[in-house]
Amino acid sequence: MVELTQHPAQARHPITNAPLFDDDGKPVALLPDHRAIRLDHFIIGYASRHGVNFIVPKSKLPDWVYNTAVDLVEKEFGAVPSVSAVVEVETPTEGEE
Amino acid sequence: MAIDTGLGATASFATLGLSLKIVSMDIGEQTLPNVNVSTLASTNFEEYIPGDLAEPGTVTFECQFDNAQSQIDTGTVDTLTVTLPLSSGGTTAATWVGTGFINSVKSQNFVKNELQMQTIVWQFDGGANAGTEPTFTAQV
Repeated sequence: MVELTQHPAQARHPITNAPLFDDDGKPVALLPDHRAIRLDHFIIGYASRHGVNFIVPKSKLPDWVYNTAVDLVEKEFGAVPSVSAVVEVETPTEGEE
Repeated sequence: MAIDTGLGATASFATLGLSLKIVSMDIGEQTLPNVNVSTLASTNFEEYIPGDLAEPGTVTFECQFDNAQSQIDTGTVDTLTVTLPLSSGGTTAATWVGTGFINSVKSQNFVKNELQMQTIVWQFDGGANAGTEPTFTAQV
């Protein structure tokens, strides 16, 4: 399942610097206007009004995952100005040199 | 305990959307100045108290240079999320997050039998202009 959740970074108390939790015991988001993109609960990218940043290479993302994630971000923020992804480190081939 | 190697760590720039071919990432030091409080009555050692404000630190990226990439802008304020490798037993990896900007880009050397590499340095801004201080969130 592909879903958007709050960004995992947790806000800290401005005086004590201790991690902050809300009244229900859930972590308070450090970046309330950012989202994590999760596939089966595991983070595969981040999103904001600026666009989508996948943290796994696009070659490892099935098309339906990629497209669902972008659709969810578009619904959340109204637009997806850019999409980027981690690139795999390449070993140059003779033909590319 | 969730110890791990560095393989699998990623860097995500919210606005810049950079797709870097990262070979290594170095989270720099957060350093607090020392204030010398020694007096003529001090004995044996200099005496110090901690200063008030720590340097927020930098992140240094060593990357393969991609001849097709566009030039990297310095000075654009952005939010960086460094996601650590997910260690066994966890579902959400630890992160380093903060606002800042790229303050240096060292372009490649051209050397035979070696890949072209570049060095990019990110400066955390310490939360300037209502930004986000560099913050570590542990894996859960």
